[in-house]
Amino acid sequence: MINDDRSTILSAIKASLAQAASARTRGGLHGPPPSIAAPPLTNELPKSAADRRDPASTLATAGFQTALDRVQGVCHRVTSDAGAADALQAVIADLGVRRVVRSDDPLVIEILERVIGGFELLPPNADRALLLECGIGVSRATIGVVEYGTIVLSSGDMAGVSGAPTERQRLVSLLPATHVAILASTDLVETWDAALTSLRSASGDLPPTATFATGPSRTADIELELVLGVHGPKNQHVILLEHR
Amino acid sequence: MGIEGVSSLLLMRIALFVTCLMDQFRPEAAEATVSVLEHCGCEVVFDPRQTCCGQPAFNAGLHQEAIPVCRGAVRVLDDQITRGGCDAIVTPSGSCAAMFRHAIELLDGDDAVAAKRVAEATHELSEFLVRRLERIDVGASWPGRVAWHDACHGLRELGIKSEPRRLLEAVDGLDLVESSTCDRCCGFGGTFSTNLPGISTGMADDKIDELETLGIDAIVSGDASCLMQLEGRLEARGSRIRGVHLAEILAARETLTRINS
Amino acid sequence: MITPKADPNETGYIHHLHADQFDDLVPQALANVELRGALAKATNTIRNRRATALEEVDHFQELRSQAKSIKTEALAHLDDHLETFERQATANGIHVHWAADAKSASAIVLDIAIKNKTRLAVKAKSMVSEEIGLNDALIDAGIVPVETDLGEWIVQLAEEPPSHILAPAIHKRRREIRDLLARVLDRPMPDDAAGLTEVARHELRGHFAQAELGISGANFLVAETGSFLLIENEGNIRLTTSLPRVHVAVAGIEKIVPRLQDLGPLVRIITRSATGQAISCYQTLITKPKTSPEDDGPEEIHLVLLDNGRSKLLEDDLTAETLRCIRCSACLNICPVYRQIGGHAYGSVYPGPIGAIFTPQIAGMHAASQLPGASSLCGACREVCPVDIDIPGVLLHLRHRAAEGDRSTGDHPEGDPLTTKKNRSMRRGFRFWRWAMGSSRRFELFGAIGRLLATVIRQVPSLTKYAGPLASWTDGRTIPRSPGRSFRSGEMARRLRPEGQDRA
Repeated sequence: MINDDRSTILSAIKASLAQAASARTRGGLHGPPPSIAAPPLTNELPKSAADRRDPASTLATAGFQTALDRVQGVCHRVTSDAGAADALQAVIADLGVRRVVRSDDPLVIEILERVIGGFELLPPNADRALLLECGIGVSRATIGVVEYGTIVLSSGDMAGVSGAPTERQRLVSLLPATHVAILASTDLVETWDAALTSLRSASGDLPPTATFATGPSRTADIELELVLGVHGPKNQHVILLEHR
Repeated sequence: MGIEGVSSLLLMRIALFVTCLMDQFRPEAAEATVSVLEHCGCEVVFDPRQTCCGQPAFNAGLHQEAIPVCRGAVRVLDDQITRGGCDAIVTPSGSCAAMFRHAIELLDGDDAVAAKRVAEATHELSEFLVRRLERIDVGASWPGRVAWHDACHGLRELGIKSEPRRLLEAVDGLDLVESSTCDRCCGFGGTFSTNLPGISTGMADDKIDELETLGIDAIVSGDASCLMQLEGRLEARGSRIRGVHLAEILAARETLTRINS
Repeated sequence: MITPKADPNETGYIHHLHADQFDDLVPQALANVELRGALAKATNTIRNRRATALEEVDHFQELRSQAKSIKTEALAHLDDHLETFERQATANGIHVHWAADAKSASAIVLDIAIKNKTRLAVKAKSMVSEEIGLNDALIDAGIVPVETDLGEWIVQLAEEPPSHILAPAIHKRRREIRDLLARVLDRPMPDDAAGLTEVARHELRGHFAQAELGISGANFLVAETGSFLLIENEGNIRLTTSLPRVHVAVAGIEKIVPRLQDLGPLVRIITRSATGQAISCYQTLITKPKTSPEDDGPEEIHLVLLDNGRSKLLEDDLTAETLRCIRCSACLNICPVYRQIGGHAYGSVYPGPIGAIFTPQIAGMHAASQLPGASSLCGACREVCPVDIDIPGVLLHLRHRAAEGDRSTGDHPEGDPLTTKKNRSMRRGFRFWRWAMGSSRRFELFGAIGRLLATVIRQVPSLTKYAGPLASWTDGRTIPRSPGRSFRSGEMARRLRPEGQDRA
């Protein structure tokens, strides 16, 4: 039955495309459009975004911070692992969070080891019920996009079957109300398109799932009023390691 | 045929496509169109065999009825540009000018070829003045405060946006204000206006609600059907805002042409 | 009351379609002051946000033309791309299914649900799932589908269909939503949008965790890699596709793009066109089910490719443009007609300008013949469409098919009986018009009669009740003032006659 539908659909498409092709050569009623090109809709040239960009922000890290700030995310630029730990500590303390869950990325683990306690730290394979109660999730951003302040979160291939082993972070970066992403400045790219290209491994493989996240979750479904924090995290922090 | 007017140098010979609506219901705007063209040094020719471009039926999907009417207009105008020595066709309506482009697909054979010639030669009035003749100041004088309505076909099919504004800004004594709803459809749309009257008048209200906040004397358009729609609703609402065709303003020369309420 | 229009077995079934009631639904919508207020506010807001967003983009027209050519190319070789997609996705472990019609698609999803002993399914917003009536099919099989997109959840609780492609509850004011939630959840509700959103977050969290099945649509399918992309702001799609054990995505066949890199221009333009954001909060690219058992995410991923009449649109270059649609809803937000009446009046899950061309072509003109007339042909939709669909052109084509049958194919006029009757009387009117326009003498004669009538009616407006279209005009508008004569009968026109022409 499924195969029947498959061949039905494919042959229907082929037949339709053939009909369109023959109508085109016949120059039928919907043949070539009128040959008089309409002038462009406006006489003005498109504005250049470069005219508005602050010259200082052409630096990648500053640019990323500005972009993330624009979408109500928070970027902490640090110059050492100790600095990263301090920033993370401050976020945990400011939010008064008691339970934090981490991914199993080695760098995330390293930084967390430097953070002084006062909270419970859970591994990513903790019970789901517990995960739902965590105030903060800490994971790695594999790529950062300067133009939008986007971070790329790749889902795990723990065994490294198709490329380097990737952390388990999918629920860590999604369930808690606050997500803190650790991002190395060498992983910054300028555009979303470049990030897409970088996703592919040397062998051309893609991770099972990759999420491009830009700022905290939001909605405008109620009277088009912007509300931050819906089903995804309400707070999006990125600790940007300028030294890595 | 002679030409009254200031200029002694004839720039071009123009075939006027006056449009069915202007001919029968807005002759003063039609005559104003001629005055403006003549003032700018054109010789205008009006072939009375013309009636309608066929758009009302075409928009309703009725090709059978649209074709003979459209073909008639195309043949008359084509005759004027191929044998009548006319350099261009000017029409005081964006929608009619745009219709001749559709005529290329609508008609067949030699008529389609003629339609292409006609479409290529046709200009809406403001576009003709500004782009072809490169005239902004036509020596008009019209004291009053107005806003411009961008008729849909002219705006979106022909790209007419800055031309009417530049012409109006050059009119002596005229105060042109920009309406934030200028490019919203007035709600006419041919048979749409009577098939879905509630929506049609709602669309007009959308614009008029905003126009009423501008303190204008008149709303100006290059399309007589838009004016008919807006004026009909303005009057029903007891508004003091009048509708004026662009040509009427551009042809106005005395300071006494102020519209009295 | 909503009655299903056609058999889901038939190709082109659209669930809960009642587009033939347009004439009745319109006055109701116009009379609904709350609705008009909500629509005015919403469309103004989105329109402004979009305009601002596009000012920031260099060369919008260039970007738009890229998006358009990607979609055009995809459709031009749709069969090849679909086969490539299937091959790649299957190699990656995704189960690819083909559904020729709505019933087939629902059956496939039901089959998967039942095999996985599903009692609860969480749903991310998917217009296609609305189209095929998936929720009702699940409920009939004893499975509970819970909408998780905030707007969809709201309309699900209100037992209404969505009224907008992107913001399903755009027709509801905040206090309506507050009262609805208070009633359904049986406790007092906060007054503000943030508070109400918090309620939704809390209520739905548990469902995400418990559901055995997650159902979504897909924004784009990538042939080259067998991946698909899901775009959202709320995070409910991430949850729907991460927590349950099984994930099923349903997508129209037109969602295909050839290469992974094609996603760049499309993502860049879609959210700006839709909501005015530079980019949406989350884009999730799904390529395989989890490769490591310890990872989070579904164990099984299914993708259902739905035709349901789409392939027929490829027969003609103009109608094929309809399939370029990337469901951004920019056309709805700019449409002056949609702004007046809202989405429900269209009687279709696809409202607004895109709905007016998609619905009749999918479900058949007989089921939706009034929709192509629901437009003044202003062209604003085309102007904002990120993939430059000639919506006015398709509307004109459909009107022609409804009124006369398609000249190029020789088909008969299509339409339901009421519309056919109206079209017949319209044709009679235009036959007269054509005759009147056929000679200058008749043109002048009837023009004069028209001027006389106008003068009379301006004095006695009540006379118009005897003439349908005139009565429609004068309900809210005055008849134009009659000039004393026509242009052509005046001295100036006589002076301008071409040489050798003394009379018409």
